[in-house]
Parts: sequence; C-alpha cells; structure tokens
Amino acid sequence: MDATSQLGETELIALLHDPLRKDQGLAALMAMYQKQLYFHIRKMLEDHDDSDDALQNTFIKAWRFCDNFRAESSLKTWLWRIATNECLTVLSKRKRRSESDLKVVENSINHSEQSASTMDGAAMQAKLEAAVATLPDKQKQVFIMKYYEEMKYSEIVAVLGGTEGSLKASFHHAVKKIELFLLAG
Amino acid sequence: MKQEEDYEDDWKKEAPFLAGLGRPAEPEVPAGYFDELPDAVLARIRALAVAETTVVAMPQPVAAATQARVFGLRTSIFWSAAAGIVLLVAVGTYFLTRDPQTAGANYASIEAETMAQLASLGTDEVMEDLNPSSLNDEQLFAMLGSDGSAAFENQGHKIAPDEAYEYLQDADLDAIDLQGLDIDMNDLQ
Repeated sequence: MDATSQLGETELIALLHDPLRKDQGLAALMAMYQKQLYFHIRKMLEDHDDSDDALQNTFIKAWRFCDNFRAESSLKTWLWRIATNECLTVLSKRKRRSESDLKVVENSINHSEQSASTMDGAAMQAKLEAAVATLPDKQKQVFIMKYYEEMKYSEIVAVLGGTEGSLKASFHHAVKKIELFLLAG
Repeated sequence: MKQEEDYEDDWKKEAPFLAGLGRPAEPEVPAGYFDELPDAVLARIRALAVAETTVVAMPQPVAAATQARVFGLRTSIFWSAAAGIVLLVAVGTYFLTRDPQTAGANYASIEAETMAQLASLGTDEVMEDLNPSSLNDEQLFAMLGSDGSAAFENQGHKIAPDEAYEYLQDADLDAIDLQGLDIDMNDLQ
C-alpha cells in the first residue's frame, strides 16, 4: 500500500497545496475517496458512463481549486459538494432530453410492477431504484445520502446546505413516497 | 446517544417496509476501473494544463493577431452563410413563380374568382354600370359648357358634294355593302 493512502487530513491538504506535490496529493485523495464517491454518484446518475464523467470532473475540479480550500469543512464534505453539483449538472442536461429518460424510468417501473410480498430481493431493489428515480433531484440526493450512505443529517447539511430541520422533513417526505410506491401493487 | 439514534432513525417507524429491506448490492463496475481512474484523471489534468500554458505563453501581439484572424474568419463565415441564405431564398422564389403549374393554377384561380363575381351580378347592376350617367342631354351640355357644345356643332351639318367625293375616293367601296345602304346610286354619278 502507498504511504500517501495513510495520510491524515492535514497532511493531505498540505500535499494538495504544494505545487510540486499536488499530483501526489490528488492520487492520495483518490485512493481514499474514489470508490465511495463513485457509488454516491452512481446512485444519483445510475449510468456508469455519466458517473465516470462526473467523478473525473469532481477530481479535476478538486485539483484545480484545492488552493482555495480553507479546511472550513472536511475534505470529504468538500468533495461530496463538488460531486453533488456535478450530478445536478448532468441531471439538468438530462431533463432537456427527458423523453428517453422517462422511458427508462417507465420501463423500470413496468418491470417492477409486482406486489411487494411476491418479489425477490433483486426485483425489490429494482423497484426501489425506480421509486428513487421518481423523486425530485434535491430530495433524491438527501435520500441517497441518508438511506444508502447512512450519513447524519448534520453531514448532509454540510454538503447540501440548508437547515437540518428542512432536510429531515425532506427525507421523511421522500421516505413516505417510496414506502407507498413499494407497497403499491 | 440513544436520543441521537432516535433523531437519525425515527423515519423507520414511518416506513417499516423500506427500513426492513436489506442493503442493496453495489452496482457493477467495469473490471480495473478504479485502478485506471487516477491515471485517466491525471492525463486529463495534464492536457488541460498544456492547453492553458499554450494560451498563456503566446506573446501578446501573436495572441492579438490570432484573435483578429479568428474574428475575421468568424465574420467571413457569418456573411457567407447570410449570402447563401439570401441566394437560396431568391432562387427558390424564382423557381416557384416560374413553375408553369403553379402559375397556371394562380391564373385559373383568378379567372374563376372573376367569373364568380360576374355571375353574382344582377342585370340591373350591369345596366347601371353600362349607363354611367343618369344625366339627360341638356344637363350634360350644361355641364360640358362651350367646349362641349362645340362637339355637337356639326349635328345639323350637310355634307358638301366635294367632301363626299373626297371621302368616296378614299373609301374602299368593295368593302361597303352598297345594297344595304339606302342610297340612290344615280345621285353618286
């Protein structure tokens, strides 16, 4: 294992701020977060190619703007914030050509129209994904971070902004919608 | 601690079915993707850096000249495109109006419209049009004044024999139906 992969946050930030060792810092940052961040993005975007683009763009932006990083939040929060914006950009582009996306969602819903009690685990996961896809973008992000990534409300607020109260309300709203969707025959 | 758990997990009471679902398996990723990703990102960063360095390193006059060339090229492309569009419209219009079928159709349509308008006119309307004035002769003379009366001066004029002779010399008598005229041929001798 590379020695940089064991770096603490402070050392990592120092590497990223050093022009001569910036690439090394990026490599360490990627080693620490690339998988976790990839799956976060993939849950938002579903498609691998879009997720790959968004992930690469996230790290490129981190490399370009790391000099502006003042450690007011953790590196992870900062990265998640960049990635979230990348996801929103991709989603808004998709909305412009939304017909095909709607078809994908409709297909996934049609394929998963079976009662919850008769479904196997894979079919239920497919139905859950279809349900998540119906959420508005912001609600979807909150749901993914809370439900899949088990982040605390305070951590989600650090990424998305807003207040814990409104975020929690948004999550509860999403949860109720998804529960109804899953239980609907 | 218990309080914090409740705060974070109280949604499970509202959605017990969702809460009871197992964790989903991670989606599939192409083989070797995460091993190759750092190199792919660094390659893109270097390409970006090279592009930025090239722009920054370009001497000012050269950069300005390049910008001017690009601007000139863009302007040329713009005007060429505009001229092309105008030419297309002109040629299209020319051929459209020259098309005999289209033109024939236009004429036929105008003719049909005229005939329909004529057919819709009553006899009285037509007579009214043919009789442009309801004035009698006296009113007409009064309106025309002295110039008008001059036009009618010869109403009681008798033709002199010399005038008749001159007229007949010029006239093509073969073309006149002499039998149809109520003339005593001896008078002309």
